[in-house]
Amino acid sequence: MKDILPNDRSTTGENTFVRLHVRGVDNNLYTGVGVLLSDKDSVYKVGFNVSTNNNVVIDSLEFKKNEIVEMEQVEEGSMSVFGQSL
Amino acid sequence: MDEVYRVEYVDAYYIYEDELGETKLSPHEAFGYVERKGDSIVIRFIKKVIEEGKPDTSDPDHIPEGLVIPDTALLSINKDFKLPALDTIRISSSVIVTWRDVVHVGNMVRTDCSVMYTEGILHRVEDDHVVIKDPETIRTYPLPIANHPGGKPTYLVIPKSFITEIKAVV
Repeated sequence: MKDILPNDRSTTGENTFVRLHVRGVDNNLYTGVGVLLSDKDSVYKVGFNVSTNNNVVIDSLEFKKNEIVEMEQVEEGSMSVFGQSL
Repeated sequence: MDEVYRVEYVDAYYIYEDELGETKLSPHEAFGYVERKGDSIVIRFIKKVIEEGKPDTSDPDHIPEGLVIPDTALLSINKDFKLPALDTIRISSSVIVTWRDVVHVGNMVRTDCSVMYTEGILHRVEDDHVVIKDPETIRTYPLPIANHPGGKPTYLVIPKSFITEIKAVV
């Protein structure tokens, strides 16, 4: 797996977004996209919900590296904003 | 439902200090697979991948990890929301507020928001939110929970767009 440096907006103004495929303890495969917050002790921490005023991460999940089937960096601009036309 | 969206929304929050400074709604951003369910928006942070040769027996409404938010929490809707009932209620009145709340969901089947009931004093009305002083809040749906949250907040900031009913207590 290619190394991806973690980063959230609080340090540089940029987020590092990743798409993960993870094998769960139930042996099912799960996928998601979030901000790669940290990479230490064989665990990736990924944020999915942040307060944009102060960059406080509200919801995050930790994934053991040996559970991750695939991880790739994605462009922040590739995500559409939901509900703009509602 | 294969596209990942950025969802910009607002949430209610409690204040525990006695001194109340400026209040404003804090925008949040959540990332996930999004689905509208009635008047709620379901955001799955992660979702199950259906693998070839593996039958999918899970409930389609099961959320491994995610949020359910009122559709009116979306920033695009919240900023222009009007609440005519407030026009007839004076500041410092005792009020009863019924409102829908954002709910965090982990490994369960859930596609609707919590319903909250708050009693308190109408302290401040801003363009997009109200401030309730000395709030006492009960979650009335899905399961009643008294004294929500823990501790005793001095103020509760509620987006106007979350409020389904507000009335003065006479």
